[in-house]
Amino acid sequence: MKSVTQNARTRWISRGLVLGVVGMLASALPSAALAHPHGWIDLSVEVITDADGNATALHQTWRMDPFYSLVVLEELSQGKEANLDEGLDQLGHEIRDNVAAQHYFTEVRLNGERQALGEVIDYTALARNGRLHFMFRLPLSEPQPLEESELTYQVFDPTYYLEVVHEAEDNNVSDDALTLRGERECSLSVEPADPDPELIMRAAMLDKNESGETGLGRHFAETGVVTCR
Amino acid sequence: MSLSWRQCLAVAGLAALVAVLAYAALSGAFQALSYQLLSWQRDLHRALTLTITELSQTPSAATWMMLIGVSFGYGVFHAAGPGHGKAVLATYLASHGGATRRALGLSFAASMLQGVTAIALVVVLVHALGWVTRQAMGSVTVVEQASFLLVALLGVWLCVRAFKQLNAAYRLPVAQVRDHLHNHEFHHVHAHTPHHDHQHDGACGCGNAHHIAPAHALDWRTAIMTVISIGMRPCSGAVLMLGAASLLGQFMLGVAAVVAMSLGTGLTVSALALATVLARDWAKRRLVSQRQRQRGQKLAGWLALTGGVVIVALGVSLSLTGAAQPGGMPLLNEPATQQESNPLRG
Repeated sequence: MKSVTQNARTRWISRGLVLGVVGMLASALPSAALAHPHGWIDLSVEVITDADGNATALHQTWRMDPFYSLVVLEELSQGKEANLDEGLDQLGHEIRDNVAAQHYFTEVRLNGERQALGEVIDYTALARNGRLHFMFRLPLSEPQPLEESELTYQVFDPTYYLEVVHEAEDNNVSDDALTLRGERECSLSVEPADPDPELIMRAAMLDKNESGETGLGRHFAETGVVTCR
Repeated sequence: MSLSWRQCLAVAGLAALVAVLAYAALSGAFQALSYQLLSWQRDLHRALTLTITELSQTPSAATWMMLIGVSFGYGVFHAAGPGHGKAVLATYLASHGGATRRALGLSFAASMLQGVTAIALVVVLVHALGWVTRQAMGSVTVVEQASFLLVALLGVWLCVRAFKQLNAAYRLPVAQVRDHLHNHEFHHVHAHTPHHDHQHDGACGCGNAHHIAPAHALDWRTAIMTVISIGMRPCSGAVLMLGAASLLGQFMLGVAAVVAMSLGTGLTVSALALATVLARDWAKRRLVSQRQRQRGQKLAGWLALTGGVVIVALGVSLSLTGAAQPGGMPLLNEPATQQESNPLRG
């Protein structure tokens, strides 16, 4: 009798062990979404203000990484467009339409409150030093007073396939990565991402169809901060 | 058949155990580790891009060494994350066995094949057929789908084998099982002639060795299927890198980097494969010490079946979920196929 129980127990242990390993690996599968960036965008942002000192838009420049640029520009040189400029125009339309569907990768907050954004009408794509630049003016739906306010923004690809980082040299954010156009005196800074590992795991575990405040990219996004008196 | 409901109970219990384990693993210490891996991958990827760009402008031995080092490291960490290939391999090894050397062989073969597939895609599609890199990247999704289907097929094949094994194990009377663990067809043929049975028993000395053979033999067809179903899926990142390297006139740089990457991947995957084999062997030793070989045979069969089912489930769910990686370039439309009049715009 003793040997039977022992045998049963051994079976349980052994099967549990093996299947435990298997299950652990198999269940890790949904987090295949734990993608790491396969490319990046060097970002610079100019906050635009009107005559009254209200914020009206973010003028963004996306400088695509060397490989992305190389591959896309190669395609243009083989394309049917008569010249490179025409090809770049086409490319600009295409990028604009695709990012529009993803809210231009951008979230803007004023004193912590999420701001509605308008549509991008002014945009251009150009090639400079072998890098593809995509520049666009992203308007706020309403001009927002900056007086005694803090405007923050984040630009990120939710899937984190592309990493968006402010222009930097030797890990120091460049001065021209965040600028302000207008009369108002404000302090400008770019805060590094401070990801919470737990939130990252939760984001990674979510199905890619689930929406809401999700996406791995969010947790790695830098925050631009404009603080005005 | 009184065993079967107990088996069911055991399987149900184990499902719960697996769920608990998985939860603990994913919510606990893995978090910090995964985050660390992610940031290393990110840094290595950027270093890789910059190194290749630099090499194409000012080649030097030091930069070459750096490229190989960075690629290898990238491969190691790239594989450290979860992935369907590793899940399939681990399930296969855990449920079907295989010696240490075979586990290593499978791991490295699959990893190298993954690199070779990426290289072959670029050579054939870009160099020979004149596609642009974006289209080659788009083709990754197609190849990926095919590999998911192969995974499901592999699972079905393993299930069929497990059924045969179980059938054999349950048909044999217990007393005879202990001495002969032949397949049941053999037993059937000789059923009326116990004398033959006896002779045969003496001749081939069926015992421990044979008990392991039918269940655990890693036959080459299964091995090849496993390797192909895992390795056929290239990383679109590798295709992008190879395409960019070609455009820089440095295709060999890209190839070298991909090979180093695959070796790195192989290292990580084989570590995982070894862990799986060790775990399985430990479990097997515990069983053998019970001197219940017919049970062992049945257990091996059930285990093989479970493994097969898990792999089928993996393959099917992967096929249904669709592409795990974007086909083509982010921000741009899906690449059109070569046949269409305007390959640039979707």
